[in-house]
Amino acid sequence: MPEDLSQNRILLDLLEQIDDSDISSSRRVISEIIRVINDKNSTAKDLKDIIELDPSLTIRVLRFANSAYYGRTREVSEIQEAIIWIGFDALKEIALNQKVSELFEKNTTVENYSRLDLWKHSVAVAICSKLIFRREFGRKGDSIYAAGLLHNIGILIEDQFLHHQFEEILQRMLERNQNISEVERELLGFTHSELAGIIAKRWALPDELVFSVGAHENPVIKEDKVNMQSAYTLYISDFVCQRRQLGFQDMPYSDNRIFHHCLRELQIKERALDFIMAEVEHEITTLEKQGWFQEDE
Amino acid sequence: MENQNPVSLKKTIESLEIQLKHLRNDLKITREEYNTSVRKYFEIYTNLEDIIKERTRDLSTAKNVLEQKSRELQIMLDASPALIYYKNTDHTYLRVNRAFAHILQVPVREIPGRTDAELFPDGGFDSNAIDDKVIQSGKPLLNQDEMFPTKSGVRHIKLDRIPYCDSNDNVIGMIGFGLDVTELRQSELERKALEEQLAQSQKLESIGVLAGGIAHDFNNILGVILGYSQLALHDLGEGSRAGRYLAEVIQSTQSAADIVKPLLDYAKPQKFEFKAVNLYERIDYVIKQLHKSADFDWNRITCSLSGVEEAIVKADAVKIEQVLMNIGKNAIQAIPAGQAGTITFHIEMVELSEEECKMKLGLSPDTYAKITIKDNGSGIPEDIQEKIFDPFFTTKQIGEGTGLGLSQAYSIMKKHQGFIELKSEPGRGTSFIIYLHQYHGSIVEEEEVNRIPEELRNQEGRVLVIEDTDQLRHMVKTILEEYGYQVEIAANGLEGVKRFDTFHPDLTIMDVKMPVMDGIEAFRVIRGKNPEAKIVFSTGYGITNHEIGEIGADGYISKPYEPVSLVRKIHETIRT
Repeated sequence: MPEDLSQNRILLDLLEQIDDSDISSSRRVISEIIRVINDKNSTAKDLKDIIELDPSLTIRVLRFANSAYYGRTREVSEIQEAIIWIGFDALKEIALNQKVSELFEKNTTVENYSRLDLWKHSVAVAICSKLIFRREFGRKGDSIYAAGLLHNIGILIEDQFLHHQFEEILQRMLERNQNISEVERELLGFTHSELAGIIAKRWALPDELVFSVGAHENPVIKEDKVNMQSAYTLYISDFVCQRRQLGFQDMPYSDNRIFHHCLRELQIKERALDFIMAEVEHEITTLEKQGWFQEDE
Repeated sequence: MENQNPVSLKKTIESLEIQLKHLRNDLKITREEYNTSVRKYFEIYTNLEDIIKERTRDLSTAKNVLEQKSRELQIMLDASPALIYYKNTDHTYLRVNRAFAHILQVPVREIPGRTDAELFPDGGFDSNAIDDKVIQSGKPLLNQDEMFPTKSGVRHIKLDRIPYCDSNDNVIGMIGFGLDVTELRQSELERKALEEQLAQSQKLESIGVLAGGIAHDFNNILGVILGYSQLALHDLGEGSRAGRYLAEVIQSTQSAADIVKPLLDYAKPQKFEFKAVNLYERIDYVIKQLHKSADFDWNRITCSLSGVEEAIVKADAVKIEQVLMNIGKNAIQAIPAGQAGTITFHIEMVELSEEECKMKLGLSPDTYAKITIKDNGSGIPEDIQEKIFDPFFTTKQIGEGTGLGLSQAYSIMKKHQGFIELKSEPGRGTSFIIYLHQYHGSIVEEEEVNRIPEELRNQEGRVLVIEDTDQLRHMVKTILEEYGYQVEIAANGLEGVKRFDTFHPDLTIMDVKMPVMDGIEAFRVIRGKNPEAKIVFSTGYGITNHEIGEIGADGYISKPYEPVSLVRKIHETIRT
């Protein structure tokens, strides 16, 4: 935690509340899935063990595996089978999606914000980041996928635990035509991005993820090359997804300067992003059809 | 192409480059993913195989354990003598033990899945309604008497029905627990019947002793009354008024004596002479005797004899004739007036085992002649059947029967170590069944036993027999002549006195009670003529030695007497 935040009462109270909350109970499973994603030597059995320890996740994964999308003729009744039919890599993603989506489950709508919108945005950023990793860097990109899913967890937490202040933040955003981070800094003393970084750290998630989510609003801090690649990618994804109005927009007044800086640093042509976004939009539409961004799902 | 805008061309090339790069990267990633996936799936499949093996092993272990437990349970159930079964709520049998299967004579494994209706096709046993009661109430029903029809007859089962509950106490069927008490019941019934037979026998004995005791004393008293009345009448003469009164006393006393006589006979320790007897001949004789009786209407009654003709039994012929005569008469009397009656005597030889003897008190395993005397009469009501052998029990009018006939038959059969029983169905008739030991010795041997003692053969001497009973008189004459005596007979005292004068016997044997002139009178007349005359009284009445001595006779012999003892008495008296 940055030094200037270590004395922030709101933050300290908030962290305590989170530790005592339902979100905290999701933490273990989420970090375990992310560990499997990042560990090249992890096996399908590791993933299976993690999923099977979480009954609600098991049910969600099996329901998904049996969904029409996968066109199974035979009932898939075990995670083991799901891994075989869906694929190890796909299932890692699905499991993580399912688990993180639990956090967004109870929808609230305030001003231009809804929790489901935020979730949709998170998924879009995750997909986009992954595709950038794959297409542009030839990296598999499943770790950046996790970062994408979790990059706005700070907003979610504010909504959930600091709801009153959160309402005010959203209101001020509209009144003053500001980005969310500026209002957060003013009202809370920290941004949702910083909050996400702090939580990711507390959850012992990989450094790359901790750094990228913590810096996604302002990826200027010099870090090592790999971490910066993630942070820039997350920023770019966040930026383009908002520009394309995929889900919730927390920085309607985007800074093209930082965006181009990121593109330059990563040597990505804007043209390349068009190809990628086309695919992101296609995937989001598919997921929408599957009901991922509806209530009660 | 020359007119191509360089900017637009650059964009197109850039776009193609990006697509190419993306394709290259995608290929690289896809190959990587393919490799990982292959590796992961190989792992999973390997694992799967192990898991399947492990599961299969677990399952087969569990199956083995279950099978073992099931076998153990079956062994324990089979070891029980009780009938045990489990039934489903739909009344099908789930499991039965060997005892249950054994009683139904159906293999154990063929019963599960079947119902009572299938196992007892004739509907002889249908437990469904009672089972439902147990299943619905969840409460056991204990100690129910059930009759199981089986191929080898009906079995009496004491059945406990217990609800069969799962671990949550839900009734999922019922358990039956039955004990076959058929043999127990049977032996209980047999024991009861035997006890009754024993009680009957003891009752008869004690009544006999009691009646005999009274009759004996009573008879002695009657004898005294009769004796002195006769003496008084003699002194007074028959013409006097007192004499006529005394004659009435004598007659009444004689009537009393007649009534007491059968009692006395009943109580008297009777002598039995067991010989080889041809039963067929004896019965034939009895039937002929019955036909001589004018009491019956022989136009409507047929009496027949069938069966083994060479049935030689060890018996006292006279006594057996008495028994058969008695039963025969009863049978004829049982035919309702005006109806056609059939009485059949049937003889068969039967071998009785120990088991078969158990129910017939007094019989031991042997070959027996079984005589069945069957009538188609009115039958004997069940409540009377058990009293039928009691002394003095009679259904006849007072004076028509003594009530001693069957009682005597019973004791005679007992003396023979035989058995008599009765089977009767009111309205359909009665059967008396008699068992007599087959005679095992040879006939020759029997004649040896009955031989005339050496010293009594070839007697010499003249004997006058004064006896008012024709039959007896002639019998005695025949016997004595057989022994070598010269015999004259007389039917009363007066006739006897006349014969004495012409015959000059060495010994006179005479009855005491006789018409016209009685024995006492005749004695006086004869002694008056010849004080040395040897005179022996024969009597059925209780005249004491003291009285004989007082009168001065040479002795007396009590009736009925056996020929040998009569001859011995005569022989001894003549020699003194």
